[in-house]
Amino acid sequence: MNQSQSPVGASPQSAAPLASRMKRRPTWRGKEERIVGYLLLLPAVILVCAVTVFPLLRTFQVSFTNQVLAEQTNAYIGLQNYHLLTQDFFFKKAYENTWTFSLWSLAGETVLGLLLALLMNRSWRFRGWLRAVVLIPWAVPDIVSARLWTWIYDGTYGVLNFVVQSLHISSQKVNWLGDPQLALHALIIADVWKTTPFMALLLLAGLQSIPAPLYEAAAVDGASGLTAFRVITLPLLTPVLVIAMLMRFLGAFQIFTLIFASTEGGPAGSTETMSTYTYKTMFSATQFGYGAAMAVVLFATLLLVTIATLAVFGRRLNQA
Amino acid sequence: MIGRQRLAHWQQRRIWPALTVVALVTLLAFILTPFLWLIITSLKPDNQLGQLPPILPQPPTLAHYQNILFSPFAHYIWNSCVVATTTTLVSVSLGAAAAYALGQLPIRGKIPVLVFFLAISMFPPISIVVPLFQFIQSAGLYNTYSGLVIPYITFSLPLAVWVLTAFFREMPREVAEAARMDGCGVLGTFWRIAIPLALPGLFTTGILTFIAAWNEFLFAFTFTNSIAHQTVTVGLSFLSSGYYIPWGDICAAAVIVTLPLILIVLIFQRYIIRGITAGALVG
Repeated sequence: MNQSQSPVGASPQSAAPLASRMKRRPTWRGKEERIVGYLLLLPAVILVCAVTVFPLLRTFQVSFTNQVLAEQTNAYIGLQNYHLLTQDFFFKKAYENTWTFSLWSLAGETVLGLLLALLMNRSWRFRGWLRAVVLIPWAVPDIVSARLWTWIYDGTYGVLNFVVQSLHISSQKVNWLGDPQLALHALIIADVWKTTPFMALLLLAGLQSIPAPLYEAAAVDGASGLTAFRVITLPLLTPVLVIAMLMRFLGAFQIFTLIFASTEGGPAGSTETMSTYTYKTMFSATQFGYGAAMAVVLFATLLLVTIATLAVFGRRLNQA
Repeated sequence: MIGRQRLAHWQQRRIWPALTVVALVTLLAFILTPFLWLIITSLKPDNQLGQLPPILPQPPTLAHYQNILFSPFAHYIWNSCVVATTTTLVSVSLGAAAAYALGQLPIRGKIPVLVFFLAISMFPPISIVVPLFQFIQSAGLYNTYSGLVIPYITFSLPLAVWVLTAFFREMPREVAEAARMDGCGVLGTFWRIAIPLALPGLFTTGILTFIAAWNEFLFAFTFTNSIAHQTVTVGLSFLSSGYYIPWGDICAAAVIVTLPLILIVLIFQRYIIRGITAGALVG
């Protein structure tokens, strides 16, 4: 019924575009498909908005209040929380730590991930197994990673001290996570271990999309492997590299479980990051308002980094 | 000149292959040894935990696994199974519907919607945890499975939509067209033609969301406080009593928590890699 009526309703348009559209699929069908399409899409969009967008707006709102669960206060105080943040020594420290952690972690996993991707892109005999094995750290839960590395770094019984001593690098036992100078770097290595596989697999997919004839042509022209890498691989890999690095940066900047379950931000705040400090402010001190302001700063930072990346690389990403 | 050429030739034939093997072995060692160490520790008798050497347990013992499996910890595993499975079912079914619309049907505004889902999947959970906490408390969902499944939708549903859209996009339109010609409605085509064809994609998405839900810690830690509904990741974070840290038991529990995932990864790596790369690189 509906199908016989629709073509009439859809007809008052110039003939040429209609004809070209008819060729692909008749209009009456397009209309029905579109309506069903929106209906199929709606539940997911509504649900996701309900559990993410609305809570985020609420966080913005709460960040302008002095809501403290334990004291039952909840009044509008304008930008006071943000003003407090600029004077909060621990927050500044956490913010710096988060940048240090994210940038070093990103650098480490990009270099190792690229290296691994290049190596895996060759024809090894056990390539399938290689890829599967490389995925293991990716599948390991963050909490397992946190406990595992705490055990490896343990000052008394840890295997790392045993290795260091056996190789005669140092004769002293080092408390890796107990030393404010070392703890953050030790955790960066743990994070690099966990996230390098993701990086490597994305980059591997990027490498495999580069047409092989390009390399053959380069070889014919007498280009060395390094030249081919510089002239062919890097430029063509840039879009994938940028996306993968952005995704990993956003992930690293939110680092929570690894730190919360290993050092809890210690010793002396040396591994405190945005997420751990925010979480403690919210759920240990129950300062929801102040914590929400921190969460907004975290969100804004990630948004700015994303916008900046897209502004710089956007055009090249579109080409890919 | 000739000397240089021969050197270059020699470099190509001998040094590079050797270097690549060395580099690969080093990287693999970095990737594998930490996890191997976890397994080794889990098999060590208590009296060998505090001493090195021996590196390997002599003899290996399953005592730690017994301690964990015949303890309340088993209930954490059950909770995780329930929560991760429910999350997977909810997000794969809702995600499949949305992804079919985005990948196969001629709706407007596909790009903004996809960008929206991508942006949501990068959301820091810490920036929404307080409102979610308040919602869950006021709705009486604190300490329930639903109180975990609903927050888990924040990351699992966008993930499902992205990966599945990639799959539905690749599906040739002609199949659906043919079904429509035979008098199949839009929903009928979706349900009877597209879904069966997309089974590998649904499976991949299911694996990815299951792993993500299984591994989640922040929400599970915040929205539950009794063993009746806490998941394994929370249970694992509690495994240390006061001054004594039972490393053998912790490592055994960690292996138990991770082993299902490792098996999934080893068996289905092809699907998983396809899913990861599809989800990340479609745009």
